[in-house]
Amino acid sequence: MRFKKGSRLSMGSRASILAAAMSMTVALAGCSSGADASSEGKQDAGPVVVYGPAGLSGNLATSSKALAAGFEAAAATINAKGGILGREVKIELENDQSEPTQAVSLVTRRIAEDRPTVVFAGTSSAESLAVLPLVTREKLFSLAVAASPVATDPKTFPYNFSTSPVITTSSDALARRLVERGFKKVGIVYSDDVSSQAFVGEFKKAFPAAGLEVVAAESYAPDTVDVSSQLQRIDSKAPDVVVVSGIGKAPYVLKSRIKVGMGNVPFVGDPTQNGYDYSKAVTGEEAANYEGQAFTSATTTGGGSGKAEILKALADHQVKIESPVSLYGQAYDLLMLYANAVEQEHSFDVDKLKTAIEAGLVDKKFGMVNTDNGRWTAASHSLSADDLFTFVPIVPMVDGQFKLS
Amino acid sequence: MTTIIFGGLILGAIYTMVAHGYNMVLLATGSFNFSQAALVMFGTFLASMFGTDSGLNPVVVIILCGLVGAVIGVVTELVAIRPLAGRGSHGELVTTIGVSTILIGGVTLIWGESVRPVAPLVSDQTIELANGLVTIDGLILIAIAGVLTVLLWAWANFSMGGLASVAVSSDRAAAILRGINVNRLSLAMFAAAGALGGALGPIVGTQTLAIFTVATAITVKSFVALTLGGFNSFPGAWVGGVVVGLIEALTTRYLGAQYALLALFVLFLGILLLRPQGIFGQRPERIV
Repeated sequence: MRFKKGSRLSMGSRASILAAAMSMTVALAGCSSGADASSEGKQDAGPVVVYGPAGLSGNLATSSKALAAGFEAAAATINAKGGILGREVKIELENDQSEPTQAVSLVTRRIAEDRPTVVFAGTSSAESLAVLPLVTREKLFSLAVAASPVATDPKTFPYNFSTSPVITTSSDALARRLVERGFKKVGIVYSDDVSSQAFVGEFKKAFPAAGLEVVAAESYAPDTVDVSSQLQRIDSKAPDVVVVSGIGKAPYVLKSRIKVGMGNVPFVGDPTQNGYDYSKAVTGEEAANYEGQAFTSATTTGGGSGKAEILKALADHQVKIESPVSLYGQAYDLLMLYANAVEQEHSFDVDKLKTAIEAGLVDKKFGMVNTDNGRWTAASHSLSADDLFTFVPIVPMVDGQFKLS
Repeated sequence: MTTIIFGGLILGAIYTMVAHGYNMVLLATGSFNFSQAALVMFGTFLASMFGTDSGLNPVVVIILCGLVGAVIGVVTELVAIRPLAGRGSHGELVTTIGVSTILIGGVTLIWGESVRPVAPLVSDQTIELANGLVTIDGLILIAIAGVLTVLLWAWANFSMGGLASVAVSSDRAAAILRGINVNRLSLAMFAAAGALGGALGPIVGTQTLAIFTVATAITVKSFVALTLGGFNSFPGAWVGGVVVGLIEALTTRYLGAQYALLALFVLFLGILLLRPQGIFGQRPERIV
C-alpha cells in the first residue's frame, strides 16, 4: 500500500458514514454477545490474538498486505522478546475485500465464536467506521490505520487508536518547511478529490497562521494528465513556491510546470505524494527544484528505534518490500503501542490501557518504526508527533526507503 | 496564450486519435467500441515496458504495441461484438465497457497503480514557438493527428475497404446483399482499430505517461469530440477533438478548472439540441 490510499480513504467520505450507519444497524439488530463479555474468558489466558478484517484482495490489496506484513513483523519481534506479559501474540486477519459490510459480518462472527483480544479495524476508514461501533460495544481494544476524525474520536470510540497522523501534523510540518525556506507567497495546485480537498482545507488555515499568503489555489480533475492551464493561472499571481497535492500526480504537475516555463519556481509535494518513487517517471529537469513531504521512516536516514527490527523481521519472513516502510510501520507501531501499554500497566483492561496511552506511555519496551515520540490524547486518538515528516527530493526508493545520502 | 493553445491542441490531438478508433469500428460494424481508450492506455504501458525498460527503438516499440493492439482488437470483436451482431440491442456498449474494465484491471494487476515513464518519441525538450512554449513530442503528436485524419479520410472515401465500411454503416442488409462479407470486415476493422490504439500508446504516452486512469479521462472526452464533429466522419473527429481540447485548456486557464467540464458539456448539449448529427455528420434520411 501507499500512503495515498490510506489518506484517500481516511478522510471520512460519505460512503464511510453510510457504512458506519449500516454497521450500526447490523449491530443493533442483535448479532453477537453483549458488552459484559469484555475482558473475561479467553482474554485472560492463552495467546494474545489480534483479529481483524482486511482487504487482502481488491482495490486495497497492496496496502492490506503491507499492513498484514507489518503486524506479522511486530508479532515476531514481540514474541522473540518473550511476548506481551509472557503471552504469545498471534495475528489473524481475514479477507473482507475492503467491504465494510463484510468486515462487520466477519468481526461479529468471530466475536461470537472465539473472542479475540484485540481487533484490527480494517484497512480503510470505511471498514473502521463500520466495525468500530460493534467493537466498542463489545469493549474490545481496537487498532486502526484510519485517520478519519470520527474513527479516532475518543468520545465515540474510546478504545480505538490509530497510527495515521492527525491532518494538522502534516499541514503544520509543511507550513514550517515553507517558512524555513523563506517563502512568503504560496500557490497550491491540487487534485479535486476528497483527500486533497481535506489537505488543502488545512493548508488554507495553517499557512496564514504561519505567516504565509496563499495567492492561488487551483484544482484539477483527478484523472487529468496536464495541468498547464492551472499552473499558468497560478503563475500569474507570482508565487514564491507551489504546493502540489494529489495522490501520485506530481509527475504530471512537474511535466506541465516545464511546459509553461515555471522550472525556476520551487515546487513542494504535500503528504499525498508520500511514498511514491517518481525517480523514473520524471526527467532531471522536471525533478529539479522539487521536494516532497514523506515519513521520516520512509527514508534511509530516518525513523524510530523499531525500524531496524521491522526490516529484520520482514527480511526473515522473506517479505518483498514494495511499499514505503512507513506503511508497514503503521501496523507494526499499532501493535507495539498496545504491547507497550499492556506491559506498562501489567493489565489487559481496556480502560486502563486507554488512560495510560492518553497520558503518554513512560515505559516503552518495544520500539516503534515511524516515531518513538508519538502522542495520542484524550481529544484525538490519531497520532501526533513533531518528527514524523521530512522533505525529500526525487530520488529512487530502495526497500521502501527513499535513498538519501 | 500561445502556450495554452499548444496545450489545447495536444489534448485535442489525443482525443482526435481515440475518436478515429471509435469511428473506424463504427463505420464497419455500427458498433461503438468503448474499449478504444483503454487500448491506448494499455499501449502506454507496453511502451513503458518495451521502450523504457527494454530500451527498444521507438519505431520497434510502436510496431510491437500495434501488433498487441491488433490481437486485442480481434479478441474484442470475437468475444464482445460478434455474439451480439445484428441483434440491434446495442449490447456492445456494455460488452466493450467490459473489455475496457478488463484491460484496466489487467494493467493494475501487472504494472500496479503508480505512474510509469514512457520514453520520448523524438525529444521531450520544450521549445519556443510563436511566443509560446511547446515540447517537440507535443508538436509531433499534433502533426500525427492531422496526418492520420487525412489518411483515414482518404481511406474511407477512396479505398475499397473504406467504401465497403461506409456501405455497411449506411445499410448493413444492403451491403450484405451486395456481397460484402460483414463479418470479415468487422474483424479487420477491429484489428485495425486495435493496432491503431496500441500503436498510439508510445505516442500519446509521451504526454500522459503510463497510468491506468488515463483511459477513463480520454474515453469521455473523445466521445464528446466525436459527437461534436459527427459520427463516421474523420475530419469531424479531428475538428471535434481540437475544439474540445482548446475549450478545456482555455476555460481552465481563464475561468478555472471547475468550469472546464461544465463548458464541455454545455457544448455537448448544445450540439445535441441544434445539430444532433454533429458538424460533419449526415442526417439519416428515411425512405417511406
